Amino acid sequence: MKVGVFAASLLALVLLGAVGCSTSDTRRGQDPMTFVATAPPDGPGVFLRSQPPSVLWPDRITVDVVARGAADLHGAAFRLTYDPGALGFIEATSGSRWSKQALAMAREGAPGELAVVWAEKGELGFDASGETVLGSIVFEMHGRATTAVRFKNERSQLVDKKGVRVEATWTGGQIAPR
Amino acid sequence: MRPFSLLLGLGVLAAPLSTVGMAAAQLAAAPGQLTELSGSKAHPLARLVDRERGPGRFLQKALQAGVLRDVPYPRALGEARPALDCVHAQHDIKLDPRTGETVAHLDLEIRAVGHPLASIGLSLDEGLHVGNVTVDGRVARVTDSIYSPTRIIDIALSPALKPGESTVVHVAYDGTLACGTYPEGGGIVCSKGDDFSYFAHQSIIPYIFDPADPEGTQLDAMTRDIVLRVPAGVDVVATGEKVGEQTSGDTTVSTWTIDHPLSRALGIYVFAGKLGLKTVPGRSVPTTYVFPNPEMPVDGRLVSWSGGVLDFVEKLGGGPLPFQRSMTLVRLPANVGDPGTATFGMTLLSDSYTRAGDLMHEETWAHENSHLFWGIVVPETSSAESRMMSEGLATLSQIDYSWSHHFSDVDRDTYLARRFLPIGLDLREQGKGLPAIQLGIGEQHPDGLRTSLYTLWAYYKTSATLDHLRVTIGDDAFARGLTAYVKQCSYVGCTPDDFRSVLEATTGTNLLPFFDRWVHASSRPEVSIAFEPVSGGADVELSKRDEVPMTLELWLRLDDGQLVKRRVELAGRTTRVHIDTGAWVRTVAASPRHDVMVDARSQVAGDVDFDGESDGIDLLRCTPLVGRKYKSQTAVGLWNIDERFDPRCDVNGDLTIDDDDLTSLAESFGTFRGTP
Repeated sequence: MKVGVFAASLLALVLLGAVGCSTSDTRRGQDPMTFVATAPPDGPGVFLRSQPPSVLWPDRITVDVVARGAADLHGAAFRLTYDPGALGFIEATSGSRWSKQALAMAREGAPGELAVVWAEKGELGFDASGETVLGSIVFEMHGRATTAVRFKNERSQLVDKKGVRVEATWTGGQIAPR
Repeated sequence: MRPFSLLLGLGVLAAPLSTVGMAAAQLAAAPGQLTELSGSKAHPLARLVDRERGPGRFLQKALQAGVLRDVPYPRALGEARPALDCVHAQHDIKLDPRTGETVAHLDLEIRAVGHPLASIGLSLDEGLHVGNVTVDGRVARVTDSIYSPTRIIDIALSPALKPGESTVVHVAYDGTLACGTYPEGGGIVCSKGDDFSYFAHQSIIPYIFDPADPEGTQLDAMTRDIVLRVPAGVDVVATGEKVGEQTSGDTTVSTWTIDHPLSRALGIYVFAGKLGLKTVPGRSVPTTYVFPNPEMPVDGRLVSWSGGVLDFVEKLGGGPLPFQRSMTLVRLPANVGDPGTATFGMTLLSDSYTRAGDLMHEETWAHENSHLFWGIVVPETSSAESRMMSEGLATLSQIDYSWSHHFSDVDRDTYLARRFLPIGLDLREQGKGLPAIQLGIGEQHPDGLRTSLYTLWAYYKTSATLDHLRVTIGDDAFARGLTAYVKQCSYVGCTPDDFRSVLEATTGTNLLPFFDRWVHASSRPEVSIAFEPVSGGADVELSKRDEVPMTLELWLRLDDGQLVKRRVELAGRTTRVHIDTGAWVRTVAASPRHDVMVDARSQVAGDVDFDGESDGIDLLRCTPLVGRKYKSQTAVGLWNIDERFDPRCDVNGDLTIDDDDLTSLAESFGTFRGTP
């Protein structure tokens, strides 16, 4: 029975791929929605980067939270703001660089405002000098209007393993039709 | 950069003390010192406490042991009524410090106060014998017994002095000093035949006591004149201001005076031999530093510190120390087993304290020298009822000194808060059952020599309360009040409530609620803080569980990073106040200097940074600290500075920051202003 379900799912994926469609938008003759990152300035910072559209969840969009220039990163805390009419928070997942015991929490404390924290426990850190995916945020799109996703800078912070703040720029972007 | 420099600053302080427990143990285990301490975690200051309390405690034990058969102790209920008021002592002592041979005479003017005075007590080196004893207008009956290493003498007066009557007691004594050792690691009575011969109180200069109150906890202050006759060529230094010295034939005669009332319980010292002597530069009053030869590097350091320390002490006291003829500073060799003390115009400190590192050695030097005001010039009415105005002020002074001389690049409030942080943790962990700073009738302070509880009560609780008081009324007002207190209470026994009266007169503020809450009682009230940023300021709501008024200094962090400090009066259970700041307010917290005495917390659970919301930045403050434990080293809070242990991250108060605490903090994660 399980084999049968799996085979049917696989077939569906193959069929979707065969027709060259990645989202339902295309089926309806519309351009797919995508995340357009604001160009981050040089230097240490955190920015958002689009993941490829999901085949299974065409109404969802996933953005990676990427850090760079943090040599001894212990944790990241930030708040994202967005139009709750345009986007709904689905989930946040931490990246592979975090240890198994690392803290990972996300909660939409108010409509359109998401708090996220990913942090090691104890005096631990890892090298995020180069571009490092800290985690990913999944939103559900409620429409096709262009909508901004921004970091709330005053409540966004990187710290090193001594708990010292790492100066960084926080750069968001917008979700818009491709 | 500020946090970095803060960590660096305190790191420097902590560095030589990161092995503070070890330093304490080393102090304890020093050769010839307190063997009892070697296995304990005694506080370095505890030994100073020992010394200051030593003679009285020793006598108490002697009397309890029945050494004076005619003086039952403890007295029956109602009989233990101290009546001795010493007025003046004239000491004339011929001493050969090489052999210990002594010929001496004491003329002691006494009065009876409050009750009839039936006898007085003296204790001195057991090798000295009391000769002729007479009392003007009275018959004297002498009971003499040895309680090694001292000889204890009871001089019964017949008839007893009636209250208000006075007389003069004449005591001749001579012999060869035995210079024995106190039991239980109490050091030696004296040393003879050394280049640096040491003669402590109870050796050649008798300790005078009221057999009804051998500990001498009630202030009885007296003046003294001391004449010392030593062989020519021998250096000699005594407690008091030096009046003169002349050599005639084979004898050098020096005279010393204690011309203002000094508690008779405080140490009177003589040093003789081939003393190391250096002049402390930059002091208008001739100030001599005395040390055992040969000169060591520490001597140069102590001399270089002393000018700054004494200047600082005088700034605290609001004027010059009243020792106009001379002052003496002494480095005691470790082998005398005397940690040091302060007395009239003289400060002493054992060179054992070098092992705590230069910074703490210097700070302890500041502590002892500050006692020249706090306890010497400005004595307490009763050392049994409170130590706030001696040890509390001295501990506060030492911390202030370190900030002003070594850490003035660090924000003062932040520095002070960090210094009192381990004190607060020690008080919370070990000091839960401590009595109030000012004991009530029938209450007793934590007892036992070297008990950490005594240190917590006498040094930590008092100094933390004083700093809390400073923030409450303002540092400037406190400083002015302290100056006024010195003027009013010099040579007069004063209490914490006298200090309150002075502060009330200075500030025009009723401080009884403060004293009732934190001095006459023990309290750490919880105050919750909520605020709403509004244009140009914040509406703040402060809630507590009682109606007793209190004052908090609030810190408002603005959008541009600026910090605004405002004192707010909390009248009832809930206080609402609008504070104008001119800019958007990000956080509202209480000054961290209140933390030891007030449990101020955000109304929003998990809001560690007081922005009124709970998010990842609150958790990030704590996650690097997971695994940290505060290890109290038996009340060595002043020394045990773990500047990274943050009590706000230790939600359950078990002195360990762990997953349980993070879980508690995270429960409210994502609570924003306006979250339903």
